[in-house]
Amino acid sequence: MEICCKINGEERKLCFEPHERLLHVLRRHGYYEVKDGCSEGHCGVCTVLVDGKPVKSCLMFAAQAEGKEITTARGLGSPESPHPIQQAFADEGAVQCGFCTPAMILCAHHLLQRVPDPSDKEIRRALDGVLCRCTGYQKIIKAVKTAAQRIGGEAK
Amino acid sequence: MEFLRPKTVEEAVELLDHPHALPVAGGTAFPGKPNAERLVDLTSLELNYVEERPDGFHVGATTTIAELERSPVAEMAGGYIRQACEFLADTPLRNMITVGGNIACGHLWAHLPPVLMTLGARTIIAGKRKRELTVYEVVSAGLQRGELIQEVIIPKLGGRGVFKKFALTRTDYAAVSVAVYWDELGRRVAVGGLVRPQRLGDLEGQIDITPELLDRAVDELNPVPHPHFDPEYRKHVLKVLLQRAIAEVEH
Ligand SMILES: Cc1cc2nc3c(=O)[nH]c(=O)nc-3n(C[C@H](O)[C@H](O)[C@H](O)COP(=O)(O)OP(=O)(O)OC[C@H]3O[C@@H](n4cnc5c(N)ncnc54)[C@H](O)[C@@H]3O)c2cc1C
Ligand code: FES
Ligand code: FES
Repeated sequence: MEICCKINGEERKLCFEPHERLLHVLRRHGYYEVKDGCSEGHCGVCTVLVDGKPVKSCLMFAAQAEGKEITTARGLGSPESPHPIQQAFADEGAVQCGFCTPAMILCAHHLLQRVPDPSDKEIRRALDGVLCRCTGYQKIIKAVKTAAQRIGGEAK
Repeated sequence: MEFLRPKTVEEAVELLDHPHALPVAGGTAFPGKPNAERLVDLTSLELNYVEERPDGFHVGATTTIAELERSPVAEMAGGYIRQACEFLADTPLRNMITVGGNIACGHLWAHLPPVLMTLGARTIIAGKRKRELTVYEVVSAGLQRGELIQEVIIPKLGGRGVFKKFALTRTDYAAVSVAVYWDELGRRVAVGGLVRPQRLGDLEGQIDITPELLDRAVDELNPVPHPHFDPEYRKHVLKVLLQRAIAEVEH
């Protein structure tokens, strides 16, 4: 089957089998920043934003993305012009192997959109769907705080 | 296989009248290759709402847990429903899992059924014929082919509720869950996690909970095996959580 949706601001047509999940369809269309960790909803590295909200793309049926706006980490910024959250992750050493990073950044983005100055507790809860096997989370939490300060500073 | 996206409940009911059709909502309880010839998506039916009416809160079946958690019904009875949503799976999953799917999935660990059972919530079932079932009836007997949960009606109650779960981590599947609601009419108790969500009538009403009564009510249960915790341990945890929840709700 075929659907139309917007991915990182671009109109896209996606073709797939009716049972396929969004994760596998996105990767087949070249969005490799969306990672495949477990394919069963546990690890969260497949997280993308659908209409601005994080969801696990390994469970969402691709057919349900019809007419939606999908954002992957690539949609937030590029190596030449990184988003403040991406920059903060790099600066704070919040990236080791990097497998969880795109998902962490999207979850952080969703949080900072709603809560510009989050507490530790709010950050932990916002990231509770993504596993990191490298960093021990402390630096990731720090990076989200740094990003919040920088974005807050820019807004002032 | 086909994946269909009807726009109205009537259309969905018609499409579900097929020997190998299944409704899909959040999609979080489906295996990689669903065992169905036809999937009927409910998320485009506009069943995404929480409305306060004289007879209670009407919650559309495809309202997500994240939306439910931020709606006024979550704050009723001392934030009873909010407590059940808070550590229900994790943030991205709460944006997917729906109220109807959490009731219909039949998972022992589902948080909403025990809470809704103690609140006396009813479900509106769409099918060839519209009918009303309690949450307990949906969880214990299931729906007939071609039927779907359209709406859940939660009575407005002024008492207090406490939900507690025991799991490997806060966001993991509940290995034991308890839901206790209390008001001047008495106490209502439901459990899940180790057995199919159900009320524990022995612990309800105005009675004092003695250790003997608690033992009797819990020892009758037959826990479904769990990969990490043995049945006796889970029964012990259940007694502890019940005691704590009852003490909290009544003080
Ligand atoms: C990793 C993980 C952790 C989880 N942890 C928890 C937890 O701690 N607590 C908890 O409560 N839940 C938890 N869940 C969610 C739970 O296990 C189910 O996956 C979820 O409740 C299903 O809801 P859904 O909207 O995604 O339904 P779907 O997956 O779309 O459907 C589930 C079943 O219900 C049927 N169905 C769906 N909607 C309707 C309807 N309106 N009418 C009739 N039938 C319907 C479908 O046909 C299907 O058989 C977890 C899920 C995952 C993947
Ligand atoms: S790939 Fe692990 S949650 Fe989706
Ligand atoms: S950086 Fe390796 S999994 Fe998080």
